[in-house]
Amino acid sequence: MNKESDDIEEIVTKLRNQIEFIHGLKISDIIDFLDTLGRHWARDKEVGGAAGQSARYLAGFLKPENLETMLDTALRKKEALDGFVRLNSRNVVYHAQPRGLVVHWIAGNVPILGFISILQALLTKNVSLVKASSKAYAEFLVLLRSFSKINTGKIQGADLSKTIGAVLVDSNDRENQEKLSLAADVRIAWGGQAAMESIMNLPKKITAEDLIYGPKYSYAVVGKECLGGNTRDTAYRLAIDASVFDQYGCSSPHTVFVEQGGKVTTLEFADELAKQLDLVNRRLIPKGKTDPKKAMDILTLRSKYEFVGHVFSSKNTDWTVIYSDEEGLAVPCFSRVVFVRPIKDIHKVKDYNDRHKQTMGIAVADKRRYDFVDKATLFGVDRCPALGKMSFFESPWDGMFALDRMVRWVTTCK
Amino acid sequence: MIDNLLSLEPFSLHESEKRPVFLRAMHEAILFHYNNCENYRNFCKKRGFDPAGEFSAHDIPFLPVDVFKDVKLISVPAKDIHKTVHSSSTTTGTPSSVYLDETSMSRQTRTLNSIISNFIGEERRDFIFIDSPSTIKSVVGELSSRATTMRGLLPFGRKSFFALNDKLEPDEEALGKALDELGGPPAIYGFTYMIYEFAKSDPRIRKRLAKKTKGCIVLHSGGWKKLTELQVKKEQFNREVSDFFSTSPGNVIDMYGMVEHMGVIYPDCPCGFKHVPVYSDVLIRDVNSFELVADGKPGFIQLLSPIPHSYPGISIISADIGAVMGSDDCKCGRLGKYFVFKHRAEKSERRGCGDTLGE
Repeated sequence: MNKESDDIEEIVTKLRNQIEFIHGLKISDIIDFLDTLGRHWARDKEVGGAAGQSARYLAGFLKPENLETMLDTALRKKEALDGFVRLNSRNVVYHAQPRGLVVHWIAGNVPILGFISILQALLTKNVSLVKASSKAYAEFLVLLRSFSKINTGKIQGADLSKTIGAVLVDSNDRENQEKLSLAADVRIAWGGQAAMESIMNLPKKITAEDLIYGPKYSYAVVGKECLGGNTRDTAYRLAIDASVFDQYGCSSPHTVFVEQGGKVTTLEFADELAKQLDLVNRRLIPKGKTDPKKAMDILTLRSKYEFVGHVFSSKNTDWTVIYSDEEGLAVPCFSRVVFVRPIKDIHKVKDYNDRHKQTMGIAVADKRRYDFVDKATLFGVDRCPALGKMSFFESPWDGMFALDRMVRWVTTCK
Repeated sequence: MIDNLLSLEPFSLHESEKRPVFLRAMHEAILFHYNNCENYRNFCKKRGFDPAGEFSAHDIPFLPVDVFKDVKLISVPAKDIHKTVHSSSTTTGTPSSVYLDETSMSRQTRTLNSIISNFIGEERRDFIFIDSPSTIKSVVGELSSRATTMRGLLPFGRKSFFALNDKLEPDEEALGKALDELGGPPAIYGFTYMIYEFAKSDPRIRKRLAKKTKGCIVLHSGGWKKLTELQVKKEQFNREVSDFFSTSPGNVIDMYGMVEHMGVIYPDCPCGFKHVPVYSDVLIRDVNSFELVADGKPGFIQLLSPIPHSYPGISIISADIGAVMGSDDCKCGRLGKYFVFKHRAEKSERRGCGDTLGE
């Protein structure tokens, strides 16, 4: 692992030299290694200190059953990574070759999601070069260095860690940004609008694959049939979604539309959500540090809605629920500020969806769920998980099977 | 009560003497706005604040200044509004708007006169505004915060001159005329970054100014955002500006204030502190809990004043970070509380794939 940005070509050469090594590993051995790594992360104090709650989140992601399901769903058969396999053709067999070097641009807001794309590159036997976020670089290195502490017999972590490099390159350093981009066989970028545009404008190989994550908006929908005896549980799950990543993730909900006509009123739901946000903050996911400007933004928003709506909030800036009769999606404030808006018919949310919307967490009865989701997602929204699972990484993400995009399919006759 | 308060000399009372007088005036102001501004009344009710009961200054609910960007808050009939003043909106692009009636403007004039006189003396001086004459003009009752401050200073000017043209570039002809007519060391006023830019202009102007502005007082306000971006610190600013106008750095006076907190400005005293006059109070609140912090500790600056009559800006909190440094014992001799402005709270939050587009 390297961090000097002035010798990118040298780093790229070293990484490319590792492609044959990783190609020779069996996918089952890689999965076994990652399982061991995940369990190490879940209990290691240094990793826990660096990644906080995310260490356990990543450990869950690395469970063999999860990785195997993800690979089998995206590639039809994970064994395709090791050699030629039969799929549905009588005459042809298929093999998923790595694309080569994956360059990752990691966002500062949720570096953990960026780390998942590195693990996916590793699962598809690619080597990775990471343009890390300066804000989370130290934490990032702790995770990377921990590879060397794992030895499964089949794979030594120190060897595997040589397939991943990390660099710090300033976003204005056009020369080195171009070097990174031109070296990539796959470009993966997590970030906001400006970062995405900047990366997309870099020169790249014609054959390079692009996976662009962000910027996205997410929200939640609660059907009237879920406003009864289980309201507290629904609110609790939504509170978790709004508290993970303090709403800075692209899958974090900012607005929740609550359908009118349930046994519990929409305003009562807002009140219950406030109670659950408080509970989650005290017992499960304590709020991170709020910078003063954001604290003032929150105070301003609360004051504004004290004139025109209802505000439920902690005494400090830990959490806020803003209830108003406004239509449409609220401009996000982040930092655990949830806008609750009543809606006459949940099908109305279709009008708010476009390709900038990512996750729509739902609490809607089974009997109308599929029809609702089908109609609502025609023009946008890629994920509609149950409340409480909005921030769980899953494949596909942003409408893409990333694992599939990181391989080249090679065929030969049987 | 408010009139009694405004008739006092600005820095004439010890903090303990001022407190009950100020609180009585605030009581009168809060009741007025509570009874005449429905939005403010709702705000107080939702905060559980009863203006008819007993309270201290720190119990009075505070409105964030940015609320004045989004919500029209008025406590008098619309027909009584004579002027609308807008902030410079350098941070968000949306200006605050405050609506002034005759009472508010009259109070503002009284208190500003008292405070400025205390700092530059009662003797009228010639004034050079580092601005354009068109800035000060009111357009259909609308005024910018720059115009408001300049208008507040006009009564102190024996003669007033403007150093910039409408493009806000140095107007050498107007400047030449001003220098010919000056009857002694003038007072110079401009927005902080405009003064700095002017001081960086053509060196020939500096030569022309040297003899005529020697010993002048330079007043500036409007905030440090642009100069912070340029990494210009206050000491450097004072040195370069005083050098340009041939005066001492101690004669360069930073005035803190804001459109929403009309009628009170906080000039630096020679010891570098900002003094709170009897017409207002300054409290410092923790940047997360909003609880009061101890003297010397930094936090958000809360400003209280009974002066606003036409809008309920009597207790506001800004994103400015400051600290109360003491009371009654400043070497400059002014009584009452004194504080320092440190910086604006700037955004430093994480940005990334959740950095969503505005809806």
